[in-house]
Amino acid sequence: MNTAKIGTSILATAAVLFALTAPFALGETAPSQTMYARASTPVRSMRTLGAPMLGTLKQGEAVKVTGKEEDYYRVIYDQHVGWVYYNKLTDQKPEDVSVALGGGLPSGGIQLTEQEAGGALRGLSPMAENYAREAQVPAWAVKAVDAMQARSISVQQLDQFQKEGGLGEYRGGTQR
Amino acid sequence: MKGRPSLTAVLTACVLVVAFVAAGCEGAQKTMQMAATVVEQNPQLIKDQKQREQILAGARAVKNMTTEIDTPEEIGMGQSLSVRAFAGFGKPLSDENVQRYVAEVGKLVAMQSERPSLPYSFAVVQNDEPNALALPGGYVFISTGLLKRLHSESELACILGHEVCHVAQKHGIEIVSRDRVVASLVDFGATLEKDIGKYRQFIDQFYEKLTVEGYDQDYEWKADEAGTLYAYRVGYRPDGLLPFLQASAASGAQMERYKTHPDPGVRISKVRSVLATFGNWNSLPTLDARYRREVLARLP
Repeated sequence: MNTAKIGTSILATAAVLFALTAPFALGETAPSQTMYARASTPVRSMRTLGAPMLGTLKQGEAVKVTGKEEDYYRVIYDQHVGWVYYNKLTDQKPEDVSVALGGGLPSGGIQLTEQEAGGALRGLSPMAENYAREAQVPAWAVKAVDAMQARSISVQQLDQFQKEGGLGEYRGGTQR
Repeated sequence: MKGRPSLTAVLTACVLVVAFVAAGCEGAQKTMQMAATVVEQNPQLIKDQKQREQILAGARAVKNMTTEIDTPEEIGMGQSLSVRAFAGFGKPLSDENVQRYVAEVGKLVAMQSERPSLPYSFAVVQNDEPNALALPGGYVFISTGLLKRLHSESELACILGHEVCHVAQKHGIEIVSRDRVVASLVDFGATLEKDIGKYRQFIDQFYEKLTVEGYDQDYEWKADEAGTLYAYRVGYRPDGLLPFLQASAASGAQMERYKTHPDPGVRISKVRSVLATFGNWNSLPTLDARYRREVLARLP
């Protein structure tokens, strides 16, 4: 095999792969970048915690980001300039788990009882039920799995938890 | 010819390095997909057909399990593993306040992960060994023994962040998919429900692999890095892994499941290098008083 050809081939492949992946490694926001809400999150009219809200982004909802000042992204929301705390947005669209679970497990079985705040589930899949039966796992272990996944914590409760701890947006001042 | 094998080996390494760099260090799945693509599109790179097929077979094994398992299947698998985990790890702590507090911290850090919409579930189990365990589908366990060794909410956030990263970046699925014996037990596209005996064998071996062998060094380091970042993005003081790692380094003994983790000294220096990229984080809250009140004061 011609070594020069091999080298050229590797370099060409590397160049193509870098070209394909480089945009994902840039981090932070380029001008007018689309970002997505990690969870239900308020859009404020000013870059402060108590500012009036323009509206609320739903989990996974896209928003056009036009810049960043201190800990807030400047966004275009409903044709107005608004502000969203930086840790509420991501550049990767979160999976719509309700659609995924709506598609069902192999034979159904799991129900998404709450989607926001990471969601909560009820029920075991047939896979898990069959496994528990086949492995003769004690009934309390099956109940324990159902209990841990059914523990529901709403966005409002998580928000209150952060507020009481003075975390993130509730800390006051800037983080980075 | 003697030169040929070494050239092939060098080329194989080149392909994997190119694929790894191009994959942005995002894990075995992406790296192996890239490697498979490079090899498939450039068969002249690895002339030996047998070697080429071996590389492609390995890459496809990872590719198949990590891409063919959809979220409902992953959750179903996580439920099965969780049933097994409770049976082997311990009963859940009966204090619902502690369970809820840990779940609140866990959900906050999980929301900063790469999969914020996954319905993560957290459980505190009664076990004096300092242990934590992450299972596919978002099931995270932490022992009372580990909670007792922590001093603040920010330390808990970093530990849970570390575990959440294993789920969010699908490390468990990648590890088991690399094991051809275990991966071959179940065809997730077709026979998942048809042979419960095989499925049980699969779950038992999967659990064994995660709890006895654990995650390898590369995954552990990624989880340290991501867990630290998630906690920082929530707003916690992000050096919460250091006290735990320093205690491990000082005692000279790795803790239980952590025996397969990389050397604590190396992990400490790597976490410090991540912290150095965050700017001024010293004044961020640790919430040690809340942790004492909500956890330490309540544990039996």
